[in-house]
Amino acid sequence: MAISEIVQDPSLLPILQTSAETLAQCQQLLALLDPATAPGSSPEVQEVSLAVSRQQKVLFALLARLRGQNRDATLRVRETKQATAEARQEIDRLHLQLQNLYYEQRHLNGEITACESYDHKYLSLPLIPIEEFLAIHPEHRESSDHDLMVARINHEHAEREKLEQARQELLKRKQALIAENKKRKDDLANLDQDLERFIDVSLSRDPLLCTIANGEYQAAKPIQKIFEKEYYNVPAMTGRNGELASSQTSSPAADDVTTTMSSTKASAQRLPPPEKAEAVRTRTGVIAAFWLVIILFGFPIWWKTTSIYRARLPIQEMIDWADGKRLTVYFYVVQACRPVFPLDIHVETPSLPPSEAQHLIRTTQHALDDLNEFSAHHLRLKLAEGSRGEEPYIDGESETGVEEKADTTLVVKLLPEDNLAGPRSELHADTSQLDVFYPPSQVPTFSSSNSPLSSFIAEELQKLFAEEKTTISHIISSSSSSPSPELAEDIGRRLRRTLKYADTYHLAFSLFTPGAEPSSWDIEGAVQEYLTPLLEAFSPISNFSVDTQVQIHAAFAPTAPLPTFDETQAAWTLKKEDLSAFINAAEWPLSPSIGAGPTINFILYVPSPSQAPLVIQGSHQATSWIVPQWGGVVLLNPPLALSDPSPRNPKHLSRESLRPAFLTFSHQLLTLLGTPTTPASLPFRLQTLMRVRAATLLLSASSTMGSLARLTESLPSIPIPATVAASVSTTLAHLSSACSHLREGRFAAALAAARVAEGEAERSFFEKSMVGQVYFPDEHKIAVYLPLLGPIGVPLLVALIKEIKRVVASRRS
Amino acid sequence: MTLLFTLFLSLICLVAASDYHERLELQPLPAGSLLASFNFRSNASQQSFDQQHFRYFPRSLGQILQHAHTKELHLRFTTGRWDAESWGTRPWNGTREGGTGVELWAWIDAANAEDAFAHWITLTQSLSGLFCASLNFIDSTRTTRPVATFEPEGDHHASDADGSLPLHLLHGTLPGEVVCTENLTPFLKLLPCKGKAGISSLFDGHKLFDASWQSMSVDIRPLCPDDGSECVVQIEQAVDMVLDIDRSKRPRDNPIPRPVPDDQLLCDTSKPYHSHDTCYPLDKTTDKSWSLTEVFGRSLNGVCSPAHDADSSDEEEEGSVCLHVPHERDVFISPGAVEKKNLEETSRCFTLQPSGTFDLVLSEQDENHHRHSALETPVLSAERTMIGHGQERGGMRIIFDNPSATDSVDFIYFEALPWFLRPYLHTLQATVTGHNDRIPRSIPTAQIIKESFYRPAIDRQRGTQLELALSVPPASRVTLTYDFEKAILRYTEYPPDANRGFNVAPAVIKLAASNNHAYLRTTSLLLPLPTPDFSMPYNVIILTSTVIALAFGSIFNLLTRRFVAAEQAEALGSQTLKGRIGKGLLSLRDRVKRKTKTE
Repeated sequence: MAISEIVQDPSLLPILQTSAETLAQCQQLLALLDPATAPGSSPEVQEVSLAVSRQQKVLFALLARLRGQNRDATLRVRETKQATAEARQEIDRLHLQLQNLYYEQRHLNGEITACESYDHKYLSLPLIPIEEFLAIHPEHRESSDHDLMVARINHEHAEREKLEQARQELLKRKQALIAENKKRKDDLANLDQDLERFIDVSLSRDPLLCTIANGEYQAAKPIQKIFEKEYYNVPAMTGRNGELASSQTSSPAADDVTTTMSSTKASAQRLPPPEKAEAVRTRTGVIAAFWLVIILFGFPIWWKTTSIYRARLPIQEMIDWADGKRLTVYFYVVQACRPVFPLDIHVETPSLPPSEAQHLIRTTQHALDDLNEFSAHHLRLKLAEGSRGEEPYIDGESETGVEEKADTTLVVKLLPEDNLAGPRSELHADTSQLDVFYPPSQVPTFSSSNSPLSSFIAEELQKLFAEEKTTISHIISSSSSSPSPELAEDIGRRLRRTLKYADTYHLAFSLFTPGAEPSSWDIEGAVQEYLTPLLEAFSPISNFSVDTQVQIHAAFAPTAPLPTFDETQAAWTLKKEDLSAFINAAEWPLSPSIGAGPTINFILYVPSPSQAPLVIQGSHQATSWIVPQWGGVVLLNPPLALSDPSPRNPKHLSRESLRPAFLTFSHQLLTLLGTPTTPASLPFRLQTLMRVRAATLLLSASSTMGSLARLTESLPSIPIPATVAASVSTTLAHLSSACSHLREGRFAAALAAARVAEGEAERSFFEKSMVGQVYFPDEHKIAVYLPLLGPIGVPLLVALIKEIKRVVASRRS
Repeated sequence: MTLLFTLFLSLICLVAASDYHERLELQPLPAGSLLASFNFRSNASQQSFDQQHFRYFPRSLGQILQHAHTKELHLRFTTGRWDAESWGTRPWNGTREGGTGVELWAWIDAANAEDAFAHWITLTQSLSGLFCASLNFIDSTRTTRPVATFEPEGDHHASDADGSLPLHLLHGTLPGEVVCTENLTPFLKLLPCKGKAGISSLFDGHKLFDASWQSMSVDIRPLCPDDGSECVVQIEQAVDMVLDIDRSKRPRDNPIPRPVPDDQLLCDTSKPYHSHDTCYPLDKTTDKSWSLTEVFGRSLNGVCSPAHDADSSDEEEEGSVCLHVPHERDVFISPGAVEKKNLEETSRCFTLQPSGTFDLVLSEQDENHHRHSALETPVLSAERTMIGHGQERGGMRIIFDNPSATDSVDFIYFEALPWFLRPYLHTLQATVTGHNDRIPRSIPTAQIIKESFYRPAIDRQRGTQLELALSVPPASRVTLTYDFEKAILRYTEYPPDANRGFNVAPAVIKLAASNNHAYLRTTSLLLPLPTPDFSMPYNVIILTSTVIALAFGSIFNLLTRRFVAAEQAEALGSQTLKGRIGKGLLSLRDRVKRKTKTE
């Protein structure tokens, strides 16, 4: 397609023409410049170039024209576009107006149809049909639709008002009728009631009337009249019905008649015949039999099966022992006891003639009696039989004859010695013998009732026995006034430290050390050498078993206060008040030994080298203390082996190094066993201990008896087995025998008896079956019995009460 | 393990008059476990023992033994189960362990069986107090007198040589006893160093009772050397435990197990689903690293050697801590301790400094084949279970498995059953299953059981005792079954937790191989018994009371009531108080009615 076909606008045709000319010009130029035809010679070249430049000028001119025409064309296009846009705008505006008009038309059409199709009320009014209306009012036949309608509506309104009025009238009539009806009904009901009443009265009163009533029941009026008449005649008829006289007179009011009539109906039935005497007797017998079975069998069986066995105990006697009545009323009650301590003191006077000796003893006895203010403790001086034979009285011999004779407490040997200013005494450390050295001049003459020698002997004896006396008086009655309160205090403290008496004591010796050394000690040798003699001396009083252990790595309790270093003493010190926390009870194996009897612990503590030497704070550098009723502790600071790098404890503790510790232990043992501190003689102290122990046991057994008696009285539900009763009687027997032994001065026998009494008393008090729990408590019994006893008991009780009432009533009548 | 045992035997031979030895053996086990065997042994000469001069021998225990006339005592506290399949043979060949709970057996000298039992009761009561265990519940129903199962370890004189009385063996178990820290504390107190020094300082109750398996034992036996020197009384205390190393290494204040961090997970890359966020964890092929302090929660403090005597030099050279790992493995120890490798290339021992702490660290190292080969398979494995159903009857099944292909196993099977479990021995049946064909064949019991000792139970007085000498053929499994009946207990005999079941003590198996014995114990069983409703007696009382009361009431009424016609009764009733009240009420009603009417 050629370009001329596409572009047909006349304004563009010059452009096309010009461009075609330009194209031709260009092609002409190109042909000139074609290298194929390029001229080889220079004139040709020049010619060509001239032609070219000419052609070129033409071409430039053409191009310029073309450009101008192009610009014109472009401007025209713009103009045309502008014109087109304006025209289009105009068209749009007109179109919009047209659309608006269309809408308006449609809306108006819609409104018109709505108005045309509107359904008015008057079209559907319930009026009589137009034909009927016209038949009634023919004058409206000619009138318009509108007038016809108005006339019809008016007509309808009038008709309706008329009908409403009629309805109201009818309603009024109906109500009047209903009221009338109701009134009639009430009348009828009243008549019915009256009739019933009339029938009742007539029936009960007179069969004749009854028949009348029955016969003429329908005739309401006359019967009502009869009824009215009878009604008020009731009081006049009382004479005929004798049984009811009282009730009828008592209720004269007319309204009460009905009630009297109902009661009359009930009592019209007959009462049962009175019970036969036989039946009554049978019933009494049955009830009595039941109660007899309950009382004679039920209660005893119940009592027997639920009661607990309580052996009879001599309660009064037991309480008397505990209260010490047996002690105080000694002179009035024959078998009563009073711990008296008649101490036999044998006086040996190898150098005096018997008569002088007798006199000396008499005067000394007088002096003693004057000095003694504690009546239970009685010193009796006797002249030794053996004194004549000039042989020393040996303590052991008197022990053999203990069955018959009283023990000899002390042997006083009077030895004359020249060149002495005054008498002096000397107590043997290993026997109970007191040597009195005196100048022969002081032997009392028969004439003098007092002499320095006898008063000296009396004072010496008094001094020897002072502690024992105080102790015993303290035991017997702690409130008794003692001569010196300090001594009493001392004794009280000592008694608190003392272990309870036992047959056997276990002695446990333990070596404790915080480190690993020392881990062995020559304990067998130490016990054999330092302790066995003491224990043998104690054998008449108690037995001992010994066990030992070594415990290394035994540290203090973490809560225990640690020792502090004291510069002045150059030692580690423990405070006195911290000593109670010294023993690490949680970790140190200090369990009591197995077997009967308490354990006495003795602890030998070797401090670690870093804390040595360890002493108790204070000036004395003390290293031992007693734990009351438990044992003793000794701190042992052995010489340290100076080895590098640090000093060490010795591996082994020899018997020699244990010596001070064991001497302390034996002293502690004596204290813990209650041995008195004075005098120096051990046998003498042991004898004192025996007497003290006997008194303690006697009192302790007595108080146990009292506690048992009070316990059994205060707890009526605990059983008392026969073994307890047997133990109690054994205790009481041994108590009195111990008492009599004491009275006669046989202390070893008294101790033995008191031991048995104490043991039996403890056994009876701690009898297992007595403290056993009550398996079936009272609440359970009630819970179990109630379902059975409740339903059975109630009829039984009610029957019994009825029967008793009947008997009482018959008695009264 | 046999190494342990031979060591133990060799130690027994070294007897001095009064000495003390302690030893700790550590052996890693497969699956990240560690077996720690503590052994404490001390002697006291017979003379010092009789005179109650105690040095290393604990005084409290010595006194109990003397008081109860006990010559040889074995006491075991055990928890857990030894997993023989993964851990191999038992330590000490099972001679130092007991059944689950508490087990006690002792040789007591007494003139007759009654005296022996009285001493036995004394012994159990005293030990109960000493060890804080319910040993006092070992009464006649839990006490047996085994015939062939136990043999004394000590040297006892012939009974008539020095006028001493014959020995009686008594055995009691408490399978339900829970062993806990309160038993460890008295156990430690018996030691000379009390956990303050030496290997006993490693004991921590939390770790010990957290172990997978643990056993504490106390053995006391008199030993008389062959050379005629003085007899000694030896006490040996041992604690064996299997610790889970991972579990033990958890800090005590934060014991909750944590998952392994991602970067430490070892994944199986061959799994198809393996990716950067999916991992199939592999078991570690390396030995875990651990140290004494980590595993036991404490460090070892010095040496407990109170006897620095010259005669204990042998022991010094031996070393008190031994570790059973191959020599290739690196072990780091605290400075001052001396390591000594043994010739067998599987163990080494350490001699410690007298003071200062000791620690031992094993680094993580690739697992090598040496260790597993060291595990020995047990000679016999036994298993006991209850079969059957219902409240009235049940059955017991015991399975013995002999893994050996060539040797048959002879052993003694001992079982003490409570009296309320009544076995029927005529129902005892044996079945043999070969390892090759796996077909159970029923065989006559006489073919398996060579000897048997049976002591039937007496209700509430003693339990059943059954001892069988058995022989299991090679490569086979023998199953013994018997039926039993469950007794009904009395109302008061039920414990508070009756519905939990009743414990049946483990069976004891004594392997009679060669001269040294080995023991094996099954697990304890729980026997459910028929338990009543415990409010029953009261219900019965109340129901019967009601019935009796009803019967009595009607009979009593029949006997005492008067019979009249109904009309007459009404008339009579009007005269009574009730009748009068009724009449009054009636009249009142009528009056009210009348009033309303007149209005």
